[in-house]
Amino acid sequence: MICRTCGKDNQPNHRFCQECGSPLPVEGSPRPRAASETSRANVRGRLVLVRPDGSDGGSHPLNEGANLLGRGSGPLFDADSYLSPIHVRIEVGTGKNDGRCIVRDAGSLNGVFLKISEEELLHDGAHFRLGQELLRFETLRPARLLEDGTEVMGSPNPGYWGRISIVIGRHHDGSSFPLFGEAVVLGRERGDILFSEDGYVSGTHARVSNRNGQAFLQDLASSNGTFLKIQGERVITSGTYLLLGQQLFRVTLG
Amino acid sequence: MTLGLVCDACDTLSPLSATVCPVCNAQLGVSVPGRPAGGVAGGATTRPCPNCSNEVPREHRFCGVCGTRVEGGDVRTSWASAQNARARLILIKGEGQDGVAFPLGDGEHAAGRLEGGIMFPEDPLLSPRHATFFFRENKLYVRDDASRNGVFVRLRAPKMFGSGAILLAGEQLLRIDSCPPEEAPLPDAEGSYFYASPHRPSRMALVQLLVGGEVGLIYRSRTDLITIGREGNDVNFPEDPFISGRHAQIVAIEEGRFQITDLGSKNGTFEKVPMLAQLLPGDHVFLGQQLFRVEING
Repeated sequence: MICRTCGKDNQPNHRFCQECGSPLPVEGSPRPRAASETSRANVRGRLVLVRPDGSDGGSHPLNEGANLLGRGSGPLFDADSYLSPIHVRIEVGTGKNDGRCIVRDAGSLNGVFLKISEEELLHDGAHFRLGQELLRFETLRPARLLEDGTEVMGSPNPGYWGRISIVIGRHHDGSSFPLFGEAVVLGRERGDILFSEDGYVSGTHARVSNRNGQAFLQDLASSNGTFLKIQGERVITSGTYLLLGQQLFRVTLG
Repeated sequence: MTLGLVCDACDTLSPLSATVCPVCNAQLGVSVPGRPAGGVAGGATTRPCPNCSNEVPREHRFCGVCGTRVEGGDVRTSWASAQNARARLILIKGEGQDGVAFPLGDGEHAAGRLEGGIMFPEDPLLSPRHATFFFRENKLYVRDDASRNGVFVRLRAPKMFGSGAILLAGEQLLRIDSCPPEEAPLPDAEGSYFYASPHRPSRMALVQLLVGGEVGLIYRSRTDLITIGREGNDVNFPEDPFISGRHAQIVAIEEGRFQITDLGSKNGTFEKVPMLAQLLPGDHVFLGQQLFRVEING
């Protein structure tokens, strides 16, 4: 049983956290909230909600150490059904790690998306978001020969190095686009892959390029940004934007 | 007519007693396998093929040009000679030139990369045993013998198919999938909903199957119609030299049923036969990289 205030792992039958004293939720009972928030004085940053019009909404304090946030963390989050109850872990460092912030997906259903500011490496299976589109990148495996020496017939492959699929359901893909050449541009009006009906996608939004056998994702100064689902841990700085569920947040430190 | 030994390397005729060619020093002798000795040396080393009259060396058991067995007679591979063939498979190469003819009589005629009388050892897209042609009740059939790549027959007219049908248009191997109807999204065990791209309902998807087995393009149509061709269609393949401008169309008729129509393309649209297909005179059959035209007598 993980304490929702400080992240300490407690024994299942405990009713109060052994580390910070906050009440622990009983299985099936509604989570008590708010009291734990004011009991800690070492707030080191804030997670600020960014409204669709770009203005700041409410914010949630980020304490020193680990912060486990999700749909159960307060009014800022509880209306977003795309958030998991415990969605993201944000750890704020102090002392020699002062200003250093580590973000990790806490086992959420939909993932934690980071707004990219520079070119990012795309691994096989990486997910990213443009506007409302959820896309998955895959590398293409080389042709295989069967055991009896027969080759598998098919359309000529001009040197596809990857594929981008539109994710339309947990186990369903929509259209899929094989990638060829040095780079592929995605956008609403101009590019190789067009999302002409998504108003949140810029005319020219992002680029996926292939260099030395690796794929890279780059935002092309889009209005709303390009978001990459994080895998493992990411170190972020103050001012970084995170997409959690359906909401955009900005991490401010200090 | 002079009797002598012809050198395999330089065609020089030498006396029967010679052991080495006086011109190029190659070994001479009737027991050297390989090239037929040519007409000058006499008829001891080759005999004509009963089907196409090619001179077949004595050591060979099949004619190198048409594949007819020339020695003995094997009742299991019932080869018909040209006279009593009930049908023929004409191999069309490239630009539609008529090539070799394979006669089909009673019994089974196997085709494959390593087995059968219709054998193409250099075609890696053929399975070792790929298909069988045979007559039953006066009709000619082709059976896919669980080959990896399948047997394709050219569409003669618009035809109905189910989900999973595979087509060949130009160089493109394409599969039609019917898409599951929209299901109401359900939350997971924690009450969270899965976020996905907003998508519009679609009845079918066209899937491009790449050489080697990977999936390439997937096109999900939003209407009941998908057009395919080189340019100006829903799905375009501008780099494919064998596909026509407007090549074929697929119409969703009802849940899981599609009608596929060739739009008068130059090279045709081929359907992958499920297991067995009847062949009519003039049909085109494609297996591995081999394209045949079917001729049926009577």
